[in-house]
Amino acid sequence: MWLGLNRHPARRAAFMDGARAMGPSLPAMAAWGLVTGVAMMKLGLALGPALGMTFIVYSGTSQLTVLPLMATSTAVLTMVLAAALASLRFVVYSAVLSRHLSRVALPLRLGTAFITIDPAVALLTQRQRNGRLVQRVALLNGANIITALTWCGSSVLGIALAALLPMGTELAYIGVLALFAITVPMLVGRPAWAAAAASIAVTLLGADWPHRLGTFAAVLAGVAAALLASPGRRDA
Amino acid sequence: MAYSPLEIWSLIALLALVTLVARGFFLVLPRRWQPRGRVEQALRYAPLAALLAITVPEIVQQLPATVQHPASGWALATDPRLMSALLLAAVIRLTRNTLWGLVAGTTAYLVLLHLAA
Repeated sequence: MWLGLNRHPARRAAFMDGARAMGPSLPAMAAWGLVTGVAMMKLGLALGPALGMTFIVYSGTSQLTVLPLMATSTAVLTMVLAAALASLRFVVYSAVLSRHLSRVALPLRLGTAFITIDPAVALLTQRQRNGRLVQRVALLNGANIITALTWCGSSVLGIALAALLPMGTELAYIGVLALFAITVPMLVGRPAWAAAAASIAVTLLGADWPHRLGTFAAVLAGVAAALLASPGRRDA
Repeated sequence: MAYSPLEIWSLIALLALVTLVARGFFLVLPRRWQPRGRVEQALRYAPLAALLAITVPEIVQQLPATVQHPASGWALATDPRLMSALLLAAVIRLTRNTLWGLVAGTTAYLVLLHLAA
């Protein structure tokens, strides 16, 4: 296999560890996948493009950004720009990944980055804090594969069952609760609380900003607050 | 919705490019431009900040309307979104189990939602 899992028991163990560690975040992925699948069909996308969005775009953020714009027949390039602005938090995530992946061959580096989303980045940063950082790429991709299977599987389910299911503001909020549930355990230590306070303040301040720029500003504010609150240089 | 197949598939291809460029951005920069030291340490908190920035606006969404409500104390105590999220956080803190928190929060949300209806 391309990760060399069969030849490296330690890598395989890290891969399985990453997959298992995603357990608590799978309800969030499943709820959001289902909501996104249903939304794509309800807004009139044909089956082929809906599956294309799921498997080729692989970004709930971009998909949910362009859907309402498609309903009003917005120009393609305008939608791409809106999706790019809404995706800025992933640029910050790529900075998080850069240290771990900088020595990996380019195809695997970009392939891994392409499928790395929020819960897997969170896992990587937490394992880093615990100092257990062997076989990082395998750990990350174990988390990525199980996340992708859950997200794509539930999206396809939503696409298939769209005719039977309601649009689901309730289900969407359960998805929010499931995301919040994986956030709560991350609140440990002074830098984390500082990041949380700054992020919440900025996101509420920027709630009306277009293109989810409030979310991006909140991520930057959170990282800046953690930087100010951290007790000087520490080694992982 | 009025897009030709060509437009739809161009959109999908361009959005995939957005995914690749956003998620791979720092990975193709020269190594000396990649964050190190204290900034790299602080970047650990980016997922926490992002998840809160996504969820908190949804949790407090009804709050402005609730405060305007004539019986605002009662309305606040039965706000489905806020109360389910607070219960979820409390259960996770007490049990250290994400799943129990999610079960408690989801149940509270659905119960409060149907009480309000």
